[in-house]
Amino acid sequence: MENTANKNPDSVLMTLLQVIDIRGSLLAKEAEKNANFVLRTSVGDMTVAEFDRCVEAGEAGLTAASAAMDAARENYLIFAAPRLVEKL
Amino acid sequence: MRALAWLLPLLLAVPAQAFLFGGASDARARALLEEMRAARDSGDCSSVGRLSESFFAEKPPASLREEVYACVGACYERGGLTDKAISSYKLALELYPGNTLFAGRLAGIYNAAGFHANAVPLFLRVLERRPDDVPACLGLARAYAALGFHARAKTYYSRAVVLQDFSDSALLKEYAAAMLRKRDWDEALFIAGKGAALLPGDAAWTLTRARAYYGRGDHHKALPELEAALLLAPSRALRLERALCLLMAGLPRRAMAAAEPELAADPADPLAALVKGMALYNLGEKAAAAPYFKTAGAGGPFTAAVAAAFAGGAAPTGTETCKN
Repeated sequence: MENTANKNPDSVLMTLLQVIDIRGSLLAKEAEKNANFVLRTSVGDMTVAEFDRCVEAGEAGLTAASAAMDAARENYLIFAAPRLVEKL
Repeated sequence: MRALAWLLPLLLAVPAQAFLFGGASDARARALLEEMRAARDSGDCSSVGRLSESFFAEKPPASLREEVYACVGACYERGGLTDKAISSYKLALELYPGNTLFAGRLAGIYNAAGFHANAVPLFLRVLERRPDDVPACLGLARAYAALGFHARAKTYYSRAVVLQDFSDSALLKEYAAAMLRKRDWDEALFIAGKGAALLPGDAAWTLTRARAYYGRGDHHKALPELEAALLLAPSRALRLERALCLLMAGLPRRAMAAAEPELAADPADPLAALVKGMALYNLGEKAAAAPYFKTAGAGGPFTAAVAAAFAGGAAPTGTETCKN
């Protein structure tokens, strides 16, 4: 998930969460290199500690996943078709 | 007292309501509103705009102003002036938040323009006040389906078809297609049954049943439905869908036999070549299948990619097709 918030942390907790967030982003970028497909969701101004907006974040993820689903399904079929037909 | 006496004839000469509450001005505003409606009906949006300025100069009551916003918005919509229609409806909605017409029209514009997330709260606002509003139910179902919330879309599609007592075959087809996409095979079959009762000779219902059956892996049950659809509406696409279904049902020789007439008609038919190639592949005749995969490679991107995967070529990987 990517947000557009650019806030300075205003507490120790927020500082720690931002450190975790930065490390998480770096790890995700590495993982992307080996991924078959990636779902990238934009969550606007939402930040990592806004737990009361979890449903909103989940809905954004669902919408992004749904938009990518046709391509993912085609991709899976291309990968699986020879194995599938062989075993019919 | 004598000083006021001269006022009496004047007061009697003018209707009291007009004098005290601006009735003459209201009458002019009503006349202008009628003119605007006539201009709207004849598609003359510039006149509607010009008349609306004169109308607002009369300082008419709120109920009349509400009607003018509806008239102006409808005119912009009909004229394809979407941006102006949006601005008009948005302003009207700020002024009259309880007006379901403005919310419904604005939501409809957002939906048509692909801004489904903006349409959802507006349709919900309409349905809060009018739960049986069919266009709002349908609009919300479409918005949810486009956003990927298929279960929510089902709620509102089903409400729309029930409110119409299953009488709109186009809506039933749309609902059935949405349920196939949701992989809700039982609901798709139910709607196909309702559709077939409404229009028994329409191939769409047998085809929906066939797709629901093979969607849940029951290819043998799908085959007679596909054959019935073919009798009602024969087409190359449907014949090849049947050939593919035969292959998935584990009947490669019958699949080949179904694809061959299409190849005889057009030896370069990529989908027919792919079906025949896959049938040969299934039978272990990989060398014989190779030329068919080569022919299929000239088809569309997906057909070509599947053919390349069979031929052992470099099919596009996930990163090329799915990363955004």
